[in-house]
Amino acid sequence: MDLLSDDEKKLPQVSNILPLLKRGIGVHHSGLLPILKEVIEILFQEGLIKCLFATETFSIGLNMPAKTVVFTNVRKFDGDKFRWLSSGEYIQMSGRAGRRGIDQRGICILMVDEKMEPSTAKMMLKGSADFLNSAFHLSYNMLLNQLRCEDGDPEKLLRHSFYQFQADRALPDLEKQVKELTRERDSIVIEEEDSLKDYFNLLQQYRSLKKDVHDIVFAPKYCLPYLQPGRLVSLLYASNDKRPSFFTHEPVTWGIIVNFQKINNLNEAADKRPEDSQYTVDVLTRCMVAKESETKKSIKIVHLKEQGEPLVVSVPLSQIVSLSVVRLYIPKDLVPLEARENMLKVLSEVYSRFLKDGIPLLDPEEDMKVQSNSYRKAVRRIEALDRLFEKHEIRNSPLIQQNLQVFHDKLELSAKIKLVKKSMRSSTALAFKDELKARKRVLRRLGYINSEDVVMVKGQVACEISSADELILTELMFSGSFKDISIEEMVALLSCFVWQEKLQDAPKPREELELLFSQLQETARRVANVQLDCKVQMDIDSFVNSFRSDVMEAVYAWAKGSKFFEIMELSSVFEGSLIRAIRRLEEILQQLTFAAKAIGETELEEKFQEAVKKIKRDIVFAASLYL
Amino acid sequence: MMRELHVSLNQTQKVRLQAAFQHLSDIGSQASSGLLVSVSDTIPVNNEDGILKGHGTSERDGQVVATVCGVVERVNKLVYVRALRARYKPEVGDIIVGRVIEIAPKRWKLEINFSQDAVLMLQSMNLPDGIQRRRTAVDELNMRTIFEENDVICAEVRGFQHDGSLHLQARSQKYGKLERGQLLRVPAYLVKRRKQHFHDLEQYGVDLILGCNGFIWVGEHVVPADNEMVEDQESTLKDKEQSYTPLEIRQNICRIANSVRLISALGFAISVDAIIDTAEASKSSNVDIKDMLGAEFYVQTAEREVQKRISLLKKKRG
Amino acid sequence: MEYVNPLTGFRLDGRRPNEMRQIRGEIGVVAKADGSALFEMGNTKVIAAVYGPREVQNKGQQMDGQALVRCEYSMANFSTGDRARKSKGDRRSTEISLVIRQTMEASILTHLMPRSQIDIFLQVLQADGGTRSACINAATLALADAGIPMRDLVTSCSAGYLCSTPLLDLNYVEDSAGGPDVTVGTLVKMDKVTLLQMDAKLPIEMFTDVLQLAIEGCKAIANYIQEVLLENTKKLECMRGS
Repeated sequence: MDLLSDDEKKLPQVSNILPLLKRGIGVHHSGLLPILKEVIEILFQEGLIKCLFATETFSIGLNMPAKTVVFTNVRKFDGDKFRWLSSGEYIQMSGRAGRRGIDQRGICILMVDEKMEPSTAKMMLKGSADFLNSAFHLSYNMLLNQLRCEDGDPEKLLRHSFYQFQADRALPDLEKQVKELTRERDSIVIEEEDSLKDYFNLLQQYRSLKKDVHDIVFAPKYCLPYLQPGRLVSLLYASNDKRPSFFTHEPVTWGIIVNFQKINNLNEAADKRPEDSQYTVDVLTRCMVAKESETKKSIKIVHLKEQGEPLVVSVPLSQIVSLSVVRLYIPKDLVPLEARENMLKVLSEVYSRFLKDGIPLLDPEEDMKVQSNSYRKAVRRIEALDRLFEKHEIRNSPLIQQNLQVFHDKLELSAKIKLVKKSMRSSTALAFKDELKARKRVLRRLGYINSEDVVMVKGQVACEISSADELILTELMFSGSFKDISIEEMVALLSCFVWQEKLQDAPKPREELELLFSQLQETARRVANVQLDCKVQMDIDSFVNSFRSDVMEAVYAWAKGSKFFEIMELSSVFEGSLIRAIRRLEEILQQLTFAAKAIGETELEEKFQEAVKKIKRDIVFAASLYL
Repeated sequence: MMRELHVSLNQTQKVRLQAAFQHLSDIGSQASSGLLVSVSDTIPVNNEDGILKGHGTSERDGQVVATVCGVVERVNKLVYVRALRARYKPEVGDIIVGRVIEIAPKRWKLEINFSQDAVLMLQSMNLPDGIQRRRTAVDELNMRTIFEENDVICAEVRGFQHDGSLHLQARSQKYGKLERGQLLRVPAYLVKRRKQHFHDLEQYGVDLILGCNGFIWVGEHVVPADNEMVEDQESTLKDKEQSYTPLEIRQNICRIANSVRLISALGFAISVDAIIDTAEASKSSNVDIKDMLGAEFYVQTAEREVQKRISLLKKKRG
Repeated sequence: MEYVNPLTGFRLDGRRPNEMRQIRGEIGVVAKADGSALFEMGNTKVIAAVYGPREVQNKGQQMDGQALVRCEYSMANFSTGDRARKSKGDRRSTEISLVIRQTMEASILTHLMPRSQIDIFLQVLQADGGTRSACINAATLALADAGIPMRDLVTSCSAGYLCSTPLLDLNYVEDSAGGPDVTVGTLVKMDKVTLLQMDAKLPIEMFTDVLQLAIEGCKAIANYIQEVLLENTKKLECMRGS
């Protein structure tokens, strides 16, 4: 600890952790100062820390066994949601329990504070280790370095990559799959296949048209006014088996609207107009309640005539088939079972009264004032289709349902075969071939290589840069951006390349830095556009936004010679993260020095070297305790 | 390395050569847009900000000036002067041909027309079957069995070490010792970097290596042998008996070599096409190998080059 | 002896006092050298050959930060009229070698070629006064031909003061008259003097005039050298083709 200067001892992180350490309690996470992290690791190994609160980082890499491992939670935040721990992670972490030669057994405690499906738990605890998957991706730097060697054929490199290996290995499996699927498909024999096919197509069309009409009519702007309580509605109910049905008319039941409400989706509410939001309708209808377990019930809507309890369920608009003209009076209190039972009785009565020609429906055009050309067109086409159905020869075949089902299965198999074949093709062809071509195009367009694939001056510069986006840095360099700014500003600008974390309330950097940053963004946008033109898949905005200006101010101050605790006050980031960023920055500066040397720009070379000198000091580059 | 060929021209040849040179310089000034500068000339940059001053430039009174003679090149904000006659400037990945000067501990030193001798470490050589070398003392002692002083070697530039020395590598079958042929030295600026520097001229049975450093190898074609180690003693003995280069191949080597000499003496860019072209022309007009460097063929080659460039220029303009 | 005709104002060889002898430079006269040049000032004829930058021969002299510049000056036995043998290592040539080396080193950007050595060989083929200047001019041409980066062109010219007249570019007869002889080497564009040698006494008030005259001479030579270089560059580029 005496390694640190007095100023650095004042850092809150340092001063806060000391008393804890004295009591044998440690904290370990990636945001710690590297030196603190190392102190804690060493103390832990020496057995001086009795209780250590650690993040996952502690479990990976270093050999740090403990007697007992306690999981305080079984979910983990992975960037966008809290997910269950994967079995690989569980193995890594729980494997720390038990020290060889000291403990007879390692203890692993899992604090489960929420319901957990037995299957997920099983997956987590007993699942196999995570699959080793190739994360190989093609970078421009790699490509250029290959291109400048005489026999450096980038394709060769790719062909020997692990990714390719995995793809190749999957090939026989895929072939087998195709064979099996084909056999299965061929074994299905249907009589009158042609006419069946015809019929099936008609059916598909009919369905999609119906759906169109439904979408139009039940657009919230038309149907909301008619969703009053008491109105009778017909609902779709799922038949028992999951298979798609092939009737022209689907099974419907009736219910009474009790209420409707907008789905409150917090994320979207702000920017969506009310018409676009989703609605659910509470409907009283007969349901079948099946108890699956102690706590969970599954509720299924069934037909009125069947057995079941009268319940109020909320259904999405899409499940409502049609609205009727009839409205019933609803008692205010629907909580008692009798009230609901009564209502349903009334409903059944109405239903049987209109049994002959159905409950009168609201006419979309006249009653609901749906006025749209597409609606009218769709209705007309449905009518036409109806007529076709009537005429169709196999409509009256007794086996039509079965046959349709078989036919559907067959179609699905064909689609599957197609998919598998496609993935086979893409792996027999070089996995990255298209991307390779596209990236070469980018390099040519930006003048990094010429039409003969010989590396040009810009390419030589990009070759030197491997720890950050080589294209953007090269472009910035060649546009002279580093030339006329001070060393501190330059360092601040480069910090955007190494900082990826998003800070919620990062202060905007001062104007000069802001200006530089916008220059960077502009360059990034330009390069991204070129890449997109050359068919390299990328999202321009997220690419541009991957450069963060959040720590510019802090790094600027650091290069100016501020103390570390001073710059910590400038930004609300973890000490460890900032240190890592600055260390990476130094790496980039070294590479840029070589790049400047390659083009013979001595002034710039000296500037980069000067910058390295300025940032490479004190706690940030404190020597590791392990060495 | 040679400068202009000293041939005795008769009066008509002199006039023809003059005319050809005049044509070439006319075409050259039409075709090239690059600004030519000599030492201490100012390079106009229109007072732009953030100009990067690359190789061959420096600053004087806020202006960019050239420090060598050559052609001004511009890449975005980078300004540099492409020097013509200068020693070789290595770039990573270049194919070079060099001559072993010295054997030092674990390394060979090679003369490659650079400002220093290049270093080829023993561990930058793979064993013949492509396996990486293990560091053993025996291996070091046997270095001379691989390359001796004055051997000609082909290798690839690996890069600058931290101490500033230039390192080479020869980790591929095609690199290594070159035998049975001629080494020619031409100014490095005449050899352009291309995708291909190894050429197998099948019709001549000759290998041609255009080293980026201006060393050009013309030698008997060797079949890239992968399993040389498998052969036993007997067959190598037999090999030795047979290991003379047939006369025809020798003549071909000389013809190609003379083509290179001729082209470089005239100062034309050296490419495989140009070399084959010249060799073919000498053959078809029945010029003896020894007469290829004579006055008449010299003038003819210059004239042919004029024709070639004129047609090229026409093609460019459509 | 009257070095300047009081009536006509012409010098012994028919030049005006501020007139230079005819100068001529030719590049590429030594085939094996990296750079070479022939430079003539009237009857003075010098050949320069530059080798390098190349590996340092004597490892002890190698410098990590810059190139080692070496210079060897010698006069051919047949270069002067007298039959006295000129040994290679005599004092005069050692001194001139040193002077030329220092002058050229001031211009060469040695830091760009660390751990290497540049050799400049100068041979006087014909001596008729001003060999020092001719050598420097020839060396400049040869260095530029070798593609060695330089701050500026170094040119040199001498001037003297005889018969109360400042004379530019002394020939052998004027040189051996015993009058003051000022040899100036300049970095022309940078307007800097890198060499200034004077053999005899010269009143201070006259000195500036003489110096100025020599500098003018340097400028004229620089213009000529620049022309030669540009012409040569153009020829090389044109011949190379695209």
